[in-house]
Parts: sequence; structure tokens; C-alpha cells
Amino acid sequence: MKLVELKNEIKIGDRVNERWNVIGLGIHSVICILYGRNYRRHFYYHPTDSGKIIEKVERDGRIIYSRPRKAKKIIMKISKKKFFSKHDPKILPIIRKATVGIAGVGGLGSNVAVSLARVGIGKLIIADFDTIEASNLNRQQYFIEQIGKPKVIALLENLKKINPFSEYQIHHIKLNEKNIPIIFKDVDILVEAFDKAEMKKMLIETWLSEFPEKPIIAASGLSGYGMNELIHTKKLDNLYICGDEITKLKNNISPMAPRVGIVANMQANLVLEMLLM
Amino acid sequence: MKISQKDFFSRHDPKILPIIRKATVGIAGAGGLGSNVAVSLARVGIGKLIIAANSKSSG
Repeated sequence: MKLVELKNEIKIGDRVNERWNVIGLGIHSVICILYGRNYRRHFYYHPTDSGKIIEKVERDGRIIYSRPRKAKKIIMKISKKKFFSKHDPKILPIIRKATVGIAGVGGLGSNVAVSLARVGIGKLIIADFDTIEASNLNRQQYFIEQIGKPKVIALLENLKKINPFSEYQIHHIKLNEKNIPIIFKDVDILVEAFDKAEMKKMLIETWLSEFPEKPIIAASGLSGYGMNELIHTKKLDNLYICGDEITKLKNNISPMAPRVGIVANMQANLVLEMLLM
Repeated sequence: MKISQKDFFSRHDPKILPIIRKATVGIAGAGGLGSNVAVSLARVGIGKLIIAANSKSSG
């Protein structure tokens, strides 16, 4: 029996040997198809070994190969310098000093938080009382194994995985006129990311009366799909509204990732614009 | 965590879900645009995504 070691550089379409053709490439695997037959198998790279394939294929007619080795869990170490290496050096210091509040972390808020964390905002203050349900996953930045957890806890886990160099303060609480000024008193800008109209109104009114000098970025109209051209931003003094301002939530039907994501990212984009003005 | 397909799609619009589930979408490149397109379409429930990119993610 002769063992064949797969070469490091493999491309789709390559013949690995006379039996195997490569039809796909994964991060830790090469997906092959048995030449001339509809039979697929995966060969695993060892992730700790910088992508080198260490699985070996026996080629004597029978399909024999050792089970994929259990990948050792590796903790990726990345320096702050490397993380921010391609950020614009003119704006980075301003962003790193900023504090942004996010009220509600459903479809809008979870997407705003992920974008702002990726950008590297110094500190995010996040508040929400809700827990994750299966039907949230069509648009919110959570994962199946997080169902049942409070959204703020799950979001904190995800944000730390995305950017461990920013500070995240979470509040698992239902926001009201009394706690809003306390929780968000140190933010430079507040993002309104509720889904219910009466909560939006309460937050905006509370904010504009408590902190008339600080901007609040709200959202209105993000249901359905398509209609890119209707989405816009409106300014009313220190109140900004992103969305189409037309579409309403339909009973028991969730908004969908693309349009929610667009509006959330318009809010995040506006946060940056105002910080850098 | 086990979750049924029914639960997962419970609040999708029943009028558009069958069309979405039957669709196949290709994504060329999986950087800033492609990775976000893929996540959005996967969340929405597009039946099949075909994704191609040649670079590795880097710090």
C-alpha cells in the first residue's frame, strides 16, 4: 500500500491522483469527487498546521483513509495594530474615542452594533430586554446555538469575536423615560433601533428633551424586499430618520435581512459621518 | 440546540418562501460585499448559494 500525500496547493479541477478530482475547496478541507463517479468525500487540512493537508489517501482501489483528525482548538492571536492596520489613520483616533448608544438590538440594533464594532468605535452602550427566538435569525446577527439567550448577552459574545479591542457595555433591561437618560448619558450619539412605533416615539421624545444637543438616529420603514430607491435619510434638527418611511410591519411576518441590514447600515454610516464632521 | 426547519421559517412570508427556497444564487467574491451578501441571503433562506473566492481571510 502506497500513501499519497496531497500537495499543498490544490485547485478546483486538479486530479489529485487517478481516482480523485477536486471539485471544491474549504478552509479546512478539499472536497473531491471520485473520478468518473458521483461520490464525494472531504479531505481535511489540519488547521493548526497552516493549511497543510496531513490526511493521507490510500490508493489501492479501496476507499480507505483515516478519520479527519479532531482539530485542536486554536486561539487566534491578533494584535491591535494588525486589526487596525488598514483603517484610515486620519479618522481612527476619532472613532476610537467615540461612545455610541444603541437602544434595542433586534434586526436593526444587532446589525448597527456589528458594523460599528467592525469599524472600531471605542465604546458601545447597548440595551435590550428581549431573548433570541428562532424566527429572529432571518435578519438578526445571532446564531442557532444562541436561541433562548438574552440578545444583549449573545451580541456581546459575537462582538468580542469580531473586535476584542473595543469596549461593550450591555444592559438587559426594558428602556423607559427614567432609565434612558441614566444608561445613555455618556454617549456621543444614540441609535434608535426599536421595532414598535410607541417605543420609538417614547425614546425619541425622551432623548430630545433630555439631551437636545446630542443627535439621535432613528429608523422608519424597512419591511419587505426590493424598493432600494425608496430608502433615504431625513434630518429634523438633531433627529435623523433612515428608511423608506412607508412600509409597515405585517402581522406575524418578519422583516428580512437585506432591507433591515441596509437601513441599519445607513444608521451606522450616519454615526460615522457625524463623528467625523 | 436543535431547531426545526418549521421553527426557523415560522415567520417568513408564506407567499414568497417557496420561491426563495427554490432559488439558486451565485456569489463571486467573498470579501466585504460577498460575505455580507451571503449572510443576508442565507438568513433569508435562499435554497442554494454557490460561492467562489480565492483569498484567505487575514488579520
